[in-house]
Amino acid sequence: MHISMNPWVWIGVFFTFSVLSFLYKDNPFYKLAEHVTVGVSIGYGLVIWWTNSVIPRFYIPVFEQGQWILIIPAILGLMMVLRIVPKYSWLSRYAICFSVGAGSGMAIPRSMQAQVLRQLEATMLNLSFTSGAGINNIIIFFGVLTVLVYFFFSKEHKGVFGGVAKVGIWFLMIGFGATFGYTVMARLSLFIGRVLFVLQDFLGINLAG
Amino acid sequence: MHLPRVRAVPVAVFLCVGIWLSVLGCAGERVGPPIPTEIQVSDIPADDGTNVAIGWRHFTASSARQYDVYFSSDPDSLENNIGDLEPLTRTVQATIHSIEDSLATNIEDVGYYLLLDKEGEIPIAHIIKATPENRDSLERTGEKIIAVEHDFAPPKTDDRELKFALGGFFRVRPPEGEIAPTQKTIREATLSTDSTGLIISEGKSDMLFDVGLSKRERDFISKGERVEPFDEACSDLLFKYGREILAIVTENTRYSLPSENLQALLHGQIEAGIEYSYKIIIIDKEKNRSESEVMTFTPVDEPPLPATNCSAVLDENSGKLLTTWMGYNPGLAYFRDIDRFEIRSVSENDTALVGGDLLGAFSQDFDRAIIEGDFTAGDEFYIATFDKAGARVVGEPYAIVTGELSSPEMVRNMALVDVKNDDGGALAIQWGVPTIGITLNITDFSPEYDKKEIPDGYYLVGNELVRYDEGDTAIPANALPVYDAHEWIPAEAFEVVFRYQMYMNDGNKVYYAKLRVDEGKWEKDFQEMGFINLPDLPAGEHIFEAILLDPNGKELENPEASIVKTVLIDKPGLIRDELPGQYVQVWCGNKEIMDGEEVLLEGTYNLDPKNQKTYKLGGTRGYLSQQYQTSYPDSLRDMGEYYYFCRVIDPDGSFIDSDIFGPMTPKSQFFHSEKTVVLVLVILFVVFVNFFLAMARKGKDFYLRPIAGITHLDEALGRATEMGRPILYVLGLTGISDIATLAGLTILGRVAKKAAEFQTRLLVPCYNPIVLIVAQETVKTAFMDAGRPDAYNEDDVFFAAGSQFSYAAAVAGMMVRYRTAANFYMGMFFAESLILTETGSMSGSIQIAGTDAVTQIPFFITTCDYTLIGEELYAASAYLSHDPLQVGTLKAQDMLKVIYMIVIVLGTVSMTSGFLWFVNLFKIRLEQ
Amino acid sequence: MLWKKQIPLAITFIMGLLLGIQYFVPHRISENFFQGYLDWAIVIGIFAAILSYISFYRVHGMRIKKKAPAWQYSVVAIVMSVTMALFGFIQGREEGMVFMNMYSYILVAIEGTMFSLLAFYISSAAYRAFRARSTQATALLLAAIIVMLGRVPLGESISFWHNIWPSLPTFTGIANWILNVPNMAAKRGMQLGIGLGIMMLSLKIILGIERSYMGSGD
Repeated sequence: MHISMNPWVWIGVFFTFSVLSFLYKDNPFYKLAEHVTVGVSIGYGLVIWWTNSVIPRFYIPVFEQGQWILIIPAILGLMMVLRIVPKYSWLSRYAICFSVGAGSGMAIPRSMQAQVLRQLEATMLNLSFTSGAGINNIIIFFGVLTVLVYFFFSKEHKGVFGGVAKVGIWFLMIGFGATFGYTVMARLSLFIGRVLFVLQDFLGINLAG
Repeated sequence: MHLPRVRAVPVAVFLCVGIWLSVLGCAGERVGPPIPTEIQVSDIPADDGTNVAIGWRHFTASSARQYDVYFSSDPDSLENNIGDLEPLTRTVQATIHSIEDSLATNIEDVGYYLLLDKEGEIPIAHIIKATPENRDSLERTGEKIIAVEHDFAPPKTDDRELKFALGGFFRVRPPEGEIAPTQKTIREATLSTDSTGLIISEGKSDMLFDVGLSKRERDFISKGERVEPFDEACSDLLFKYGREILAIVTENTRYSLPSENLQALLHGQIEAGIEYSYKIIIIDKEKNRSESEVMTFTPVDEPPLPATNCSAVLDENSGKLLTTWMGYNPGLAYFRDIDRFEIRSVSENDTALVGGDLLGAFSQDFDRAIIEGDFTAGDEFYIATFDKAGARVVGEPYAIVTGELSSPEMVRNMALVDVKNDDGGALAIQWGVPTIGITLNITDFSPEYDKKEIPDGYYLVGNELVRYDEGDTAIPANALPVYDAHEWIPAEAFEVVFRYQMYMNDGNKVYYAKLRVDEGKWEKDFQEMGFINLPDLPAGEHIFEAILLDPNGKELENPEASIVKTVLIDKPGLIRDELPGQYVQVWCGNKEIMDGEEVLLEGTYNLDPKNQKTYKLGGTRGYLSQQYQTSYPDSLRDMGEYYYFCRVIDPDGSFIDSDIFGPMTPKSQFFHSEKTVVLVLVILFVVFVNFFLAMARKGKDFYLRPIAGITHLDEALGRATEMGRPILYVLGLTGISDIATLAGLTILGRVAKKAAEFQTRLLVPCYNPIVLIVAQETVKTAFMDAGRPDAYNEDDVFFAAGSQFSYAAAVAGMMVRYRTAANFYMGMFFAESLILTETGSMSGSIQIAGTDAVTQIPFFITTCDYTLIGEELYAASAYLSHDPLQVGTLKAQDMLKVIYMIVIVLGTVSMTSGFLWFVNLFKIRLEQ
Repeated sequence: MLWKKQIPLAITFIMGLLLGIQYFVPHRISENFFQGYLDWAIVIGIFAAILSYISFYRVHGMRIKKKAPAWQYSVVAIVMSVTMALFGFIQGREEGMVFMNMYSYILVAIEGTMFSLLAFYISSAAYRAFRARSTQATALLLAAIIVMLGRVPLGESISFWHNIWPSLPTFTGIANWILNVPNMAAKRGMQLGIGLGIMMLSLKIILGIERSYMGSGD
């Protein structure tokens, strides 16, 4: 074991344990780590904003390549910033409507293709009682229908209708449980990554050998 | 608004500047990276004089990170205006230091010495073991080696001087003691006997032999631990038992050995015949620089290389004469400078090869031609190659020989088409008819082996079993002594994956196939799996059939679309169709388009559209690929006229050309035909919704079932008011273009209005700037509508942090410190969701979440009191608004769900019964 | 009124219509338009970001000025952001510079640890689900456990029944079945509903029925 002499590694370990202390309860170390990371993320964002966005996506196209039309969205963006002056805050609506309208317009056909057409097509399966795949298809067929019934808003979940909706909710819960289990493993491996950082980079204990 | 006058700010600035200055101050000495050695210029041969490669040796452990090669025809600009020049840059990867210390071996006790041969720029290293005889001389002329390292980068804690040397060495550490036998596999082998004894003959499957070490290997191991120079002959053993030495450490110096040759290629930036000066500037990680001296080169426009591999074959039966040649070095194809090839007959007395009848002139991509004329075997041809500057070079004359030539057939249905539904960028040549092929992947899922004892004296030499008597000196050094053999016992049943391949072009709409085995039941593959699994097929002969189906499930009629094969399944392996040996070359050409002085579209060199010999080679495809597609760059869409022809080449080299297709211009379409269904559905959707909106405007009332998360909203807000603690509203991490965030914002408006009415503080930490702006506007308006504009605090809707988990840390901290009574999570969330909800849960807040992030819903369900799942989030804003129009849209959503269910039932019936036309309505293929 | 309400609504409608149509037109004019929209959206975002930074400094500055509880930490936040930005702009962003070291050893360390907290939080979430109120939550948990076990080698070894009756599937087999059949059905049903919700909300926005994002009042 050979403890690192690199001061940065010490800082990293200090903050690692500060954050972990939150598991016990809120304490000054966690508060410090929280505000440090908020500050560092803002500072990082500022630098990246300047070097990766302002210069290559605005300054160079407008002032070096002559794409003066980009002044229009710049004005729209500045109108958003004008919110800090209460008298002119309504100006930000132009830019907001530009973005929101565009996002909504894009969403409709794409959603129709990916979340309606694709899903409908994939549910049109070959049903059969004789093969394993056929029986699975029957289960999927009923599963999709019952889940759709569950999401009905204009009818109360009573009687037969309520029974079908209940089957839908069972499907949903099994599905969510499967997602839960699937994601857990990925999360655990990230935790192991932090442990390895502390052991290898800080304490110099090498587990790979 | 003005920034608060805080004393902390100037203090902070002062501190930062102070820290920065001190960091700069102890930056230390700046030494530049080492200048590379063996810098040399190679002029690319047979080019037009505009290509030159500048090479140098880079040592891996050197601190250099980037090499910039500056060149100019004006030597002064290298000295004075180097900033104006564009260098060629080569960057090198940083070498990563390994953590393991054991990558260094201390061999001080062993007694090795390093001798350096200092003849060239870089010394050559020799490692010599000290013996009583040479020890004194080694002490004087060499350096004692303390350790050898197997790592690229020197450890940071060592401050020995770093030098470079050339050499390849390995530290060999053979294992101690007996080495267990290993297994060697001989493919498709079986044991049999002949007059000499046991031999290996062809078998059905692999055979495993337990073998010992060869004499060569035993001799290698017996020499023990040592340092050996690299020897190609025993390279396999060096890698098996040793490790490459990357650095030699003596008392004061570390010599690093690994190096590579780097190159910078000047292509088209220089002109022939002009002298250029150049130098290399080397930059390391800390931006320190070193410079090489200024050197010069003059590129030369060499004449082309003469054509080689020339042959001419005359088929006396058909009278066809085929000549082939290789016109350039394929490795330097990119740089070749060829105007044309001229094939001429050799006339009498023309030993200088300047005259002769011209039989054909071909552009640079051609490598074969059919010659018309009256020739006999023994007549001679020669090929003259011209470069673009007019230089002429002739190849050796070659004589016609007789032989047989096949008569290739042109492919059927060849057509030139404009690729549909693209943005004007592509044309395609298509040919052929839909063809099916099958592949059988046979495995023995639990192979069993029969152990056969091999008597003493047998050795494996390569793939042969040979017997030698003991002590026979003829035993080869690489012979492996054999102990036992394991022969595969033929299985009674195999697992077979019966796969089909569809060969077709984009013009054919063929998606499905049906398969069957031994004339049993047809399996229709409508799910486009591509195969069926036969897990337990008994060994023996079986009949495999496959037929291609059109989108409606009907069999295709052309014979190539069906296949019947009888195959003997008796051993593992892969059985495929034999693919035809022909291939198709697609040749193209286009005319140049000028706009005044500017070249808009570069044309094919010297193209005459009617003369196929002037075309250039576009590409080569297999016979069954059936399509060749070219894409043209942005600027060239909807312009240019392209010509094509195809050449089908038989395995023996003879060919046939198609007619010329074209001219054709790639066009962009105004409507994507595959997306018609989507358009129809969108229009139907809009009409449907408007119908329900009209009904809602007429005053029709619709019932809405209660959703737990929405009904308990008021309760949550009420609780927060009672406890006098604030409400937290989290909008998620995505931007305004994500509809889930918009749904969250609409709900925020309603929640904010209620919070204003109840006089409860509302905190909204944001992650995205535009979402922040919209949220501020939303909350402010909500407060105004509730009649409490003065209660609105702009700082309660604020920008929390710039990255995902910093945001989570900040919000979690807020929850704990402000002790929020109610937490709302509405929008799109990712991994941080669980941290937020768990923290909120542990601090006893009531939590209501709504998201369509399917991966996070399970976490919300387990940690929040109420969760709005997927569509319920979008319905929530309609529920909360109590606006009849909004409720009308919810009713429309429900009706659409009924339609979905009907469509699913109809589609399933359609698919199960085999009437595919209904299902096909919903299948759209966007990738062409 | 025109400038504050009608024109913004018109902009929403026009942008929505244009970008909806753009999806169906493969012509390069349409491609260029889409690319132009993306460039404009980025520039708007660039300037909007200014406001987010103003908001950050203002909020923490106010806390310091008013000497709100734990105002000292706001000093830390401001100092750290200024330091990071200064080092990044002046020294540069290469490996070994202070900017990258702060990124690797502070930001990445803290963010990584926050992410790894999930490992703990998942177990407490699962525990809470176990004490669940309803059979449905138990179904969720059971499915989760089966899938978790099925995805690690441990699952294979625990499947003791497999040795007695090899034709019965192991944990891995059951887990895969759960993932491919009921899970798939649930996801499809949800996606169909979500798609409807997205399209409906988008249509309401484009038609002007849903206006709360504009803040013009209901």
